[in-house]
Amino acid sequence: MENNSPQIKEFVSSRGVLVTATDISLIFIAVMCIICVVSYFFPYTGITFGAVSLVLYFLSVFLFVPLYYSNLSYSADKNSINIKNGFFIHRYTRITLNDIQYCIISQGLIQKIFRCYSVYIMLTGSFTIISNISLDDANMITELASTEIIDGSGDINEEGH
Amino acid sequence: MRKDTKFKRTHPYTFVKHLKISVILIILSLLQQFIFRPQGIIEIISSLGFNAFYVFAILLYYTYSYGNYKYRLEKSGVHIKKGVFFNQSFILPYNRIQTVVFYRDAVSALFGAEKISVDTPAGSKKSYDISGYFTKKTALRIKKLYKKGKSIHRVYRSRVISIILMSAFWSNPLTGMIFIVPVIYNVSKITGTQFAQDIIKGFLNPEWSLIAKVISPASAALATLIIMCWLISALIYFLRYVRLRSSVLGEHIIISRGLISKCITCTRINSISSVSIEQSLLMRILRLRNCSISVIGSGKLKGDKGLIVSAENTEKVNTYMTKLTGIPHDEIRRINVAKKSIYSYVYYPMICIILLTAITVFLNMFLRVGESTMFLIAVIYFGLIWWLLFRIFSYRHSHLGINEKALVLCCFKGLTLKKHFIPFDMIRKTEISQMFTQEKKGKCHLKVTIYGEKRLTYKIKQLPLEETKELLSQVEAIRKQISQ
Repeated sequence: MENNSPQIKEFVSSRGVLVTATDISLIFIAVMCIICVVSYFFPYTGITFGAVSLVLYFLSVFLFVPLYYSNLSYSADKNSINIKNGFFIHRYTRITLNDIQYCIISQGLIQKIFRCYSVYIMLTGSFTIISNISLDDANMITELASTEIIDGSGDINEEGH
Repeated sequence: MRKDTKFKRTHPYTFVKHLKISVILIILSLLQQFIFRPQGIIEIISSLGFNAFYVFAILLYYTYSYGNYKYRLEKSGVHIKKGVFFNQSFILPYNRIQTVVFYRDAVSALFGAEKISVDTPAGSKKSYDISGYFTKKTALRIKKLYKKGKSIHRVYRSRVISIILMSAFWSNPLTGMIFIVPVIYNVSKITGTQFAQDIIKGFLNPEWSLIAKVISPASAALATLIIMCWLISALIYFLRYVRLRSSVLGEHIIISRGLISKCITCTRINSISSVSIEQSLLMRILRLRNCSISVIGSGKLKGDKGLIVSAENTEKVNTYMTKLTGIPHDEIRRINVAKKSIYSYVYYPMICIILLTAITVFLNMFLRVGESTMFLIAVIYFGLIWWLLFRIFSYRHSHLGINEKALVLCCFKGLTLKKHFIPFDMIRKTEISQMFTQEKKGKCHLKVTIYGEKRLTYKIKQLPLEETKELLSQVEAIRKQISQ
């Protein structure tokens, strides 16, 4: 990252598909375990729910999630952070840097495997989440908001030093 | 500002505090061992049951949570690292901090711990941005940072009698409870006598005489319980607010209060969203008022009302308010509620009174109404008339005003009349609404939303439309000047 102010950049959460697919898979496994228990007592009900869950799982992982992430993009410049997302309804969100109170960089257990991070942009009375982006992009957003960089080791380096 | 090099952990009391949630289950597991006295490892494990697993998981979680929560005081902010399943790292900039609360109760003081809560306008309206138990040394270090190069001006110091009065008449519902006691006493007395007479006259089965015997002692027990609750509540408020002191330290207001548990709140004067002078119905009789501030971070600690002046007369409250917040208490311009609008203020209680009268007449004409029922109806009438009188009082005193630094709204909420001083740069939104009945008469309702985490709005009814628009355009011009 340059010592000067951050460059305008567009970035996409490329690993977001994998992370979300893994989350859905884990939920699917848990649901299937419950359905197996139900099937022991109510076989036909269990088979029906199992089939429906299987169809929903494949549709989610191979259709909905890739489509959602294909519409998702972020960009940042000197004055604002812009988020474009939405499935049926496309949303464009613009957050001016002055409105940002501070940013939280977060990493869950699944995100650790895929080396992804989420950034919580804290605004007055609310917050916005940018999910499943790389550490460099998370640092860039934080730097834009506060002019400081957090590197991977957790040490703080002031800008220009 | 001295920069820390290493990350530090919070005080171990944080871990102890977390365990209070799980203490019952921990005790239950231990009790099972004493009661059943299992022999052998398998018996011990099976007797512990699920509780043991839960206790182990809880202990593991809180140990890991305490170990992962670290902080470091940087040049530009506080660097926090926390989280068990979701690791979080952030820097809270000093210039975003609006309120810092130092809280110490008797138990944490024994362990040498003090709770520090830091709040910014960001995120949740229910919890602080940073909250945890730190050592007394850290708390003292932060307090010294505040005091550095500045002198503290003590403006207000509460009297014990004013705190006692405030605790006793804190809220109308709470005080109303104490008035229920004579009602319960009288109703039970009348009902008991009525029952006994009905049994003698043969209207009721003699077996019901037991109920007649039980009514009075049951009512006495209920009345005693209500008085005990009121006394305990008043005592808790007294202990929370006794030794209330409000001071000015540079650009901060320092509010300290409490006897057994001490609480010190430091908040920026220029971040005050509004200052409110309030008066409940009973305080009106005693000619006393409270003054409180609404600011980011106030009201999150249990029992915290942002109080800066308690139970003083109008002149003193105005003087202290101006000295503490810098907002003048007078008004350059004032708009009263439009004439002949009293109906809008009193129609609720009037409808209730008319309805109650109709029910009373119906009951007397067609059903046999006992003395106890009539007594209850009389009490309800008393309450409704009290409400009606308050609404008339609110109508006479509600107004919109302006001074050099703030917009002034005097309006009622529930049974309390409040006068709000809102600094111009803290006004988020003003909304004028008009019903079709108001359009011809040139009246409107005004709603003002102020800056803060929660959507705090104040509403005045039945203002004259043109004058209100003129005053709001004046406010808008002043806000533009301030932003430039």
